[in-house]
Formats: sequence, structure tokens, C-alpha cells
Amino acid sequence: MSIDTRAEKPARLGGNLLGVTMLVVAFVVSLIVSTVNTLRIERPNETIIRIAHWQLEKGYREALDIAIKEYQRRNPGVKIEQMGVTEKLYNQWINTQLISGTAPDLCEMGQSNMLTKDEYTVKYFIPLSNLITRPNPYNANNNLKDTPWKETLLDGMRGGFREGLQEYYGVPTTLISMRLFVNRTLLKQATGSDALPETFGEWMAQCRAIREYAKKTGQERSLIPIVSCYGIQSIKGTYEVPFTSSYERELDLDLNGDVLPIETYIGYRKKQVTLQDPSMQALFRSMKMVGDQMQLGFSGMDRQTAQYTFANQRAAFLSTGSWDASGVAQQAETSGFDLAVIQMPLPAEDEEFGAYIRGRQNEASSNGAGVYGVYKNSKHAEQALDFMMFLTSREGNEILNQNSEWPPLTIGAKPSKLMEPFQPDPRGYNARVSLGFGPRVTQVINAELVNYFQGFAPFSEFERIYNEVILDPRRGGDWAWWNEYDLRRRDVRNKERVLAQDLALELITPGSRDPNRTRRAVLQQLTRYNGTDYLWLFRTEREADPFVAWKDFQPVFP
Amino acid sequence: MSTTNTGLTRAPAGGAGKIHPPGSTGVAQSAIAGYWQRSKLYLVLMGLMLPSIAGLILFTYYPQYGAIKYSFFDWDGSESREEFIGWKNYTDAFTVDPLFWQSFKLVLILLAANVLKMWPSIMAAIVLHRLKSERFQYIYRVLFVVPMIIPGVVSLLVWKSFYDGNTGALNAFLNATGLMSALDWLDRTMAGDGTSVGLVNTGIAKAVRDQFEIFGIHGIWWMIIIGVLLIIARMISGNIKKNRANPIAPYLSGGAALMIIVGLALALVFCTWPTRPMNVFSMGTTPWLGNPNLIIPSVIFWGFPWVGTVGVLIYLAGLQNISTDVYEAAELDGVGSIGKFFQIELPLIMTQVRINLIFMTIGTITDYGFFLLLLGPYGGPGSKGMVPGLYMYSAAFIEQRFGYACALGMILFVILLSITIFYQRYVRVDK
Repeated sequence: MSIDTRAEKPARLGGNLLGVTMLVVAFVVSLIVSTVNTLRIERPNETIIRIAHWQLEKGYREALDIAIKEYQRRNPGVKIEQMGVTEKLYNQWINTQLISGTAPDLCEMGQSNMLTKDEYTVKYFIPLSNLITRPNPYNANNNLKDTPWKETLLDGMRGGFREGLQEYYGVPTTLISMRLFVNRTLLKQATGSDALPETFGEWMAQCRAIREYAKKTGQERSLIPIVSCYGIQSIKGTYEVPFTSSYERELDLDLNGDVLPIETYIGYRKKQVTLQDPSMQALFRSMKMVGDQMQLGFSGMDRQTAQYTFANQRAAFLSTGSWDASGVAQQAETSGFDLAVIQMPLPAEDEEFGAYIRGRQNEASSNGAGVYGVYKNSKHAEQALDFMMFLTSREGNEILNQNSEWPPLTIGAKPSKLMEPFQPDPRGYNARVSLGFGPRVTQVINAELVNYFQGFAPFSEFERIYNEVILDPRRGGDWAWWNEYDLRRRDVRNKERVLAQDLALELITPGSRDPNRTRRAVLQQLTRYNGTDYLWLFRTEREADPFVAWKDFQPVFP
Repeated sequence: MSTTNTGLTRAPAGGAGKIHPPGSTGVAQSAIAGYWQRSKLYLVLMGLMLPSIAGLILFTYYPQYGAIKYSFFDWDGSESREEFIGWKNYTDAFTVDPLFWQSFKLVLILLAANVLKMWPSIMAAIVLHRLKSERFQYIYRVLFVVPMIIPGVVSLLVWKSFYDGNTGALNAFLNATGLMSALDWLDRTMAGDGTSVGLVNTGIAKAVRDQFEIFGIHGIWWMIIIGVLLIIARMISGNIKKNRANPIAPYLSGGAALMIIVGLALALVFCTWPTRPMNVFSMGTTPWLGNPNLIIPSVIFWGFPWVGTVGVLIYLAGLQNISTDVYEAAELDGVGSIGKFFQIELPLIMTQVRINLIFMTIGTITDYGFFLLLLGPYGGPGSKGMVPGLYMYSAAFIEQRFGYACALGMILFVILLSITIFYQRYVRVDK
């Protein structure tokens, strides 16, 4: 049998030369670009530092650029690249960067568990405790020149401190606070007076008057009393401490002046706090009243639309934070209305909810924001830290915050005139009831409670769903409890590995181990209690055996 | 022998390419030489493809392998927690997590809606194809292509602004045309307004909604399941009978259509309509993305009039392959416009329809970016906009349960694969 293979002639590449050439050119170009980019980073006489954040508000990037230029002028050979990532995607983006080992040298801490939970922070970021006790060299020309770096900030650098790790992992650069922006021109037009509301009752009365005015002038559809950049949850957040700080005595088990979500969960199970308690009901009903004065279905309104509505004088009150102040002020100037900034008004004693108010939230205990951590795998960690020193020096902090119109954090740094109402108010309390324990419960709160505030579902519906989830043994508070314990145990196990490595190193080469690393690992191991605080709490407060309750969650460390 | 500029040698003439039985070493050697020349060419071609293959393996198949592997792990994305837990993620998805399966309800609704939403593109392509003037055909084709330059995200954000309660174009249109009053009337008629109970609160409606259960499954689901089984039976019997007459086919088709249409109608009227009036239409500032009962209609309505550029061009390409002889023959037979559509054009573009159907199904089941941007990571109020893809995103990036998210992804993959196989086998294209 023979096989005829004459059928094909050898194919000629000549006709395909164009395709081959294009392919080769494309590969060569991409190789050149990749090599150039890599060499730029590796070039010995030029240091490139990347700083990533999600602050895309008006003014911040420009202000950071100005600070960067000044720093580069003082440090030739150093180049700093800013990477602004949209807030919605920062979580996803930074997670991926951290996992893949390509994170920027400086990362703004927040939005993601990888940046906020201790167990991940310790893995990805450099501890700074030993570095922040020396004076900041960039304060050499002012009265802070001999002050330890951390003491030069208004919050003592608490914004970057991790309680559970007893370590500093980030450097805050600004203060933030939530405020109510008021269009006084519209207020006067609608109510006849531009007097700013001093109590919650006055505020609601003004809102009702604005609704009446809108009806009379045929603007029912377009004029809204209140808009919020972050929905009603941000407004509720400001009222939680005033309404619920009285629970501190019953719920604060570790007596640290704060009520953690796990403590709230314990109290909820023991019925020390319920959704039907008078003060809790007062909180929810007052927020429902606020929701009634917002746009119908306000959960569909995003931040940009809220600002746009306020800027176009179709809303009298805007709830947002200090980071938006600059943009809002400019919009007010362009639109030609008189802008004022006030704190969220609390109910007076003789008003409907006044009996449940203990006091305002203490903003002096607020930690600094705009916290940047130094990535552990950064090739230029020292330089990155040096830049943070500059940014938090009096001069650097003024440059950053005056240009961005954000509140400065460094002692003695002058705020811009616009930032004066945002200075922290030191009067008040700290503790609040935190109903969101665990991601699934938080999801329910975010998705279902808003239905009640919008008037689309009764409170009983939220209560039913919340109880269903929080008490669910496999998705609710018990799962979140196990999750916290599991993370803690793993972290302690990692510390034990570090200590074992250090011991082995010391045995092999005496004097080679880093005593600071050992000290940190021992301290963290001690303060993490091996997770036994979670077990002890479960046994005493839940009055159950955790390993029986958690048998369906794997793995569980004995 | 001559050489080409590639250095390959041409096979020797006479007897070239023929492999003779062993023993004829001279001829065999020349055959092997010819085979080697062709192999060298293939090697060069494979070498040129190698970077693309490497990229495919590295950036497509390796992550898939990672997803399969980590679906069996309790993994939080870092090395802190990476424990092998076997099938636990899968059993959790099936037994512990109702939200994942609830998200499929929305997907089923969207699939049904998207099948209907394919038709405007087909109609537009037919109309374009039938234009007598080539100049106008060209102009309309260009007009269809121009919107493609707008990025999808921009289009999505524009639509989000359409849906705004106070300033949105949709509410402005409904108010201007009086349709908002009609919607308000519908809301009060269906759910009542204090003076009447509303259609969905009548005894019959309550019976259908609350008591129509057989073996623990709601009767409407039974109707839809039976309808789908009848469709499958129709397809299988069609395969068995091949070209022979299939007497039961009309009964199977008719039965399936009856079950599904009646079932869906009952579901729409009695089970999906809220039992309390929404009271969101009277003011004219309807919150399309803020009311949990309006999220699904808003998501379905998005993209109106649903004439997608890519779809139109694909169908148009298929239609342009139809010979004019076919049309002439049809006209001679007295076939009208509608007859031409059902008997000529639609059958001849079924290949394209099938391809679009597959892509549409995959897109509907896996899409999450649309919902993330429109409604946020929790799927809007009441999580009504939660789809499996968004739930997977939420499990990974918000709950930090990457292993569980991988398992959900694998479940989605199996579902998609089953649907694709079903389409390939039973959505036939008879030319």
C-alpha cells in the first residue's frame, strides 16, 4: 500500500512575510518598552517611588503633585509617581497587587481587608514603631525639630497604629470629618430665613418648609431638602454615638471605651441590646425622618449626582466629608450661592428624640486619615518613608492640605479658611452599637435597612431578615466569631514561625537575628493571646462550647 | 532541486511524495526528505505561534487551573489562610448559601428577557438588508457602527443618569407623555390603594401565590419544568425521527408553549408583582434604581431599543449571503414579506442567531461589571440586583473568601458548559 503525499506543495512564506514582520515588530517593541520600564525602576542613579490612593476628589491629586515636586526639588534623583485608583475599584485592585507582589511602595490603607485587618497588614507592610520615635528631619526649621515624629501629629500617629499588633503600620496625613453643607441662599428663599439649624427638630422643620415651598412653586420633582454623597448610612454613622453610647456600660467587655461589633453581637444575643429598645428605635425613626426628606429612592443616587444636585441649587443640605469641601466650595462660588458648613444637628432635650441623646461623638479621638503604609517588598522603603516624613512635616503637610483644602494633621500646620469648621470637636463620647458583625450581616444591613429608610418596607421586615442572618449558625454572628478566632490563631502561628526562625538563626549564627523583629513577634504573640480571648468569651458569654458550635467550619485549631 | 528563499528544498520530481514499501530505500529516502521539508515549515509556523500559545497558557489556562485548585481550599487570597478542605466550598454553596441560588432567579429572568431582546437586532438587520438603495444601506450601516466608539462604561453611566429620579430623561419622558399616570394607575389596580384590594390581593391570586404547591415545589415552577421537558422531548423526537414525519411534534410544541406562556403569565401577574402598592409613580420622580421592586424591570429595560451594533452587523453579513435567486423564486411563488422573513431569511441566518444565543447566555450568566456599576457591590436595595457573577465578586473581594468564590466560579462554569452543549446539540441549523 502506498500513501500519496504529493498533494501539498511546500508552502511559501513569502506571501506571509508582512504578517511575520508585523508579529516580530510587535514583540520587539513590547520587549523594548518592558525593558525600558524595568530599567527605569532599577536605574541606580534614579529612584522611582509609586504612591497609590483612591482620593480622586478635586484638589487632592494636584496638591499631592505640588508636594511631590517640592520633595523632588529637595531630593534630586528621586521620582515619585502618583497612582490614583477609583474608590469603587481600589479594593479589588490593591488586593490583586498585594497578592501578586507588585504593590506600589506607598499604599493608602483602607477599603480592603488586606489593608485594614491586622492579620494581613502584618504580612504586607513594614512596621514603623522603631522609626517614628526619632525627630522628623524636615521639621528642623521649626519648633518641632526635637519632637519625636509621631508626636508631631495631632493624633499622635494613632491613625496608623494597630491595637492588636501594638505597632504602627501607617502614616496618616490628614484629618477627616463629616459635616452638613448648607445652601443658605436657597434656605432663605424657601423658608424666609437663612438661620442655620441648631437642633435636629429645627433641621427637620426647615426640610418640611422646603418641601412646602417646592410644592407651591411647582418644583416638587426637582427640589429636595437633603442629599448625601454616601447615602443615609453616613448620616446614620454620625448619629450612632449620640443615640447608642449609653450602651457602653453593658456592652464594653474589655473596658477600652469602645464597643466592638463582637461585643454588640454578644449583647444582642443576651438581649442587652435589641432593635426594639427605645434608644435604638429612636435612632432608626430619626433616620427614617431624614430619609423622608431625601430624594425618593435615594439609594440609587450616587456621590457625583448628589454633589451635582447640590451644586445646581436643587438641594438645600448636602452631607459629605471634608475631602469634598474644596469641590463643593468651588461649585458654590460658580453657582453663586452662599455656603455654610455645620455639624449634624442633634435633637434638643425638649424635642422628640432628645431624651435618648447622651452627647455628641468625640472627634478628638478620631484618628488621622489618608494613612499610607510602606509595602514590605518595596525596593525603596527608606526613601518612601522619607517622603512620608516630608509629607507630615509642618511645611509638607501645609502644602498638601492647604492646596487640597483638607484639614492638616501636623501640629502647627495652618488650615485653609475653608477647613476651619472641620477642626475636630473634642467634646463627646466614643462608644456606639455596631450591628454589622461579619460580612454577611453587613450586607444585610446595607441592602435591607435602606429599604426601611426609603419607606419601601416596614421596620419589621428588616428586623426579620436581620435576625435570620445574625442568628444563623452558619452565616451569621457565630461564623464571624469563628472567622475572627481563626484569623487570630493563624496570625499567632505565623509569629511562632518567625520566632522559631529567629531562634534557629541565632543558633546557627549567633548575633545574626534582628532583635527588633524578635521583640515585635513576642509582643504581638503576647497581645494576640493565641486567640484564647475569643474562646473564653464564647464560653462565658455565649455559654456554649465553641468547638461544638464551630464544628461545621473548617479547619479549627484546637 | 531548487530552493525557495526560505531555504526549504522542493521535493524531487517523479515519485515524489509517494512512500513505497520497505526495500525501496532510494525512493523512501526522498519521501522522508520531502516529509522533513514540510516538517521544517511546520516547525517554523509552530515557532511563530509559540509566544501566543505561551501567553494563552500563562494568562488563560494557568489562572483557570488556579481557580480549580483553590476551589478546594479555604483561601483568603494570602498565605495566611490556605487550607485544603475538599468539597466543603461546594457543599456550602449548595446547602448553606441561599443567596447564591436566589441570584440565579434574576439570571433566569434576564435570560428570558435577553432572548426577546435579540429580536430587535434581527429586525433591524432585515430592514437594512431589504433597503433598495445601496447608498442608504451604507449610510445606515455607518450610523449603526458609530456608537461603537463609545466605551461600554460610558454608555452604562449615561443610562444610570437616565434612571435618576429627579433629573433622569426616562421620568421626564414618562411625565411628558402621561405614561407615568398610567403606571400609577397600574400600580393601584394591581396592588390596591386602600379603596380596593388590588388584583394581586384577590382570593384567586392569593391561592395561586400561597397554596399552589405540589410536593413542596410551587405549581408555576412545575408548569415551566414541564414546558422545558416538552421542548426537550420535541427536540429528541425530532432527532430520532430525522426526516420522517413526526406526528407528536405539534402536540409537544404546543404543549410546551402553553405551559411556559401560562406559567410565566401567572408568575408575572400573581407572584412577582408586589402585594403592596409601590406609591412611587404619583410624584413623577420614580426611583428606578432605588426601589427594590423596580430594579429588575430597570435592568431589563436597559439598552432600549436593544438594537446592538455587533448583532446587526453579524446578521446583516449572514443575510447578504442569501442569493437573489432565492428571493426571485419566492416572489414567483407569491410569498409575501412576512413569509420571506420566516421561510427564507430567518432560517438562513440561524447560524448567526445560534452563535449570538450562546454568547448572550454566557454573557448573561457571567456578567457582573454592569451590576456592580449600576447597583453597587450588594446588588442594590434588598440585593434584588444580585447575580451570580456579582456574588462571586462579593465573596472574593468583600468577604475575602477567595476559595469559596473559585468554587462558585466552577459551578457557573459547569452550568454554562451544560447549556452550551445543549445549544450545540439541540439548537439545530437546518439549511
